Amino acid sequence: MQVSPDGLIRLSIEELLSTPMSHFVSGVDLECCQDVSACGKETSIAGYTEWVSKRTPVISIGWDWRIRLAIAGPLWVRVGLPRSNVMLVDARGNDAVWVENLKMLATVADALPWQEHLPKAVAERYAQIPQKSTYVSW
Amino acid sequence: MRFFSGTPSDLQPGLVTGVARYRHRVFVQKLGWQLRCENALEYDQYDRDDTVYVVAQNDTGDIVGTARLLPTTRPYLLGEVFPQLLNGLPPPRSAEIWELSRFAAVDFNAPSTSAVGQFSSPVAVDLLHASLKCASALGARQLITVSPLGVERLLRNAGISARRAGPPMVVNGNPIFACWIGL
Repeated sequence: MQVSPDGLIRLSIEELLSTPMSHFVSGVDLECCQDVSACGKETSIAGYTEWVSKRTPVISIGWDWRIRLAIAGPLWVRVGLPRSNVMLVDARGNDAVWVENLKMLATVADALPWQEHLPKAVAERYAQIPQKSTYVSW
Repeated sequence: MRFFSGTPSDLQPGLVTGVARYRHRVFVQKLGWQLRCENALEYDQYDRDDTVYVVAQNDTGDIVGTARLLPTTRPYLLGEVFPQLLNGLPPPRSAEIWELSRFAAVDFNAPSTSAVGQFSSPVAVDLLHASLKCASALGARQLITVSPLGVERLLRNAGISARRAGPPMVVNGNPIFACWIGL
């Protein structure tokens, strides 16, 4: 497995599924949390999570999540397609169409134990660090 | 809102100093970046005679956004300071690849300093498009940038072709990554 000149790591879905992934970082999207202008108004908690492979070159898959209220309790659900440096290829080594690639990566993301991992990871992160401004700047 | 772009010699006198003052307010005062600055002006070694700036001004002439473009055929931030973000690949070096950095879209005159909508603010999106247009006119076909993770979402939501060039890494407590932007 190597990084292509375009920065993508090309591998089959079987190779990806056999690659151990671990949690890297997760955070809360503070834009959503600040949209509370009146008491009693419905709000939401959302954020992002990033998972990486343990070996190099590093595979990364990240996606947005949102907490959805359900009768059984809060549900952490993935929102939208993931972001990644992976390009899945078929048996002939041909690239998937990018959107189809992301859809397949979404199924890989959904199979990771992220919903069990995230509540604690997010709580620990925000218990430790002061939050800087979220101005759009880099 | 108006946009100006060019090297220091292209821009009207005082604008580059205004950009440096604005960058100090954003990156040093607001974001707490540990940068060497004098007289509340933010410059670094990549602010050169060939550096291209994109500047957004509101109707009263206040700077409300700025971006910096550097050719990758000369020293640039990702290539010299953050090459580890490229997952083992060498930093790009091409006349068709420029680096976008010091991107800021903060209107200090806005009534609310809330972060609500900041990642989808009109200033940010318009400044992005102005930066892409400027880079394209300079011969760029791609941009590379070192960014916080949220930028990838911003770019995607703005309909801009972007994808990560490598995995995110934590630098000074903040997860950042290298991002390709297609023009």
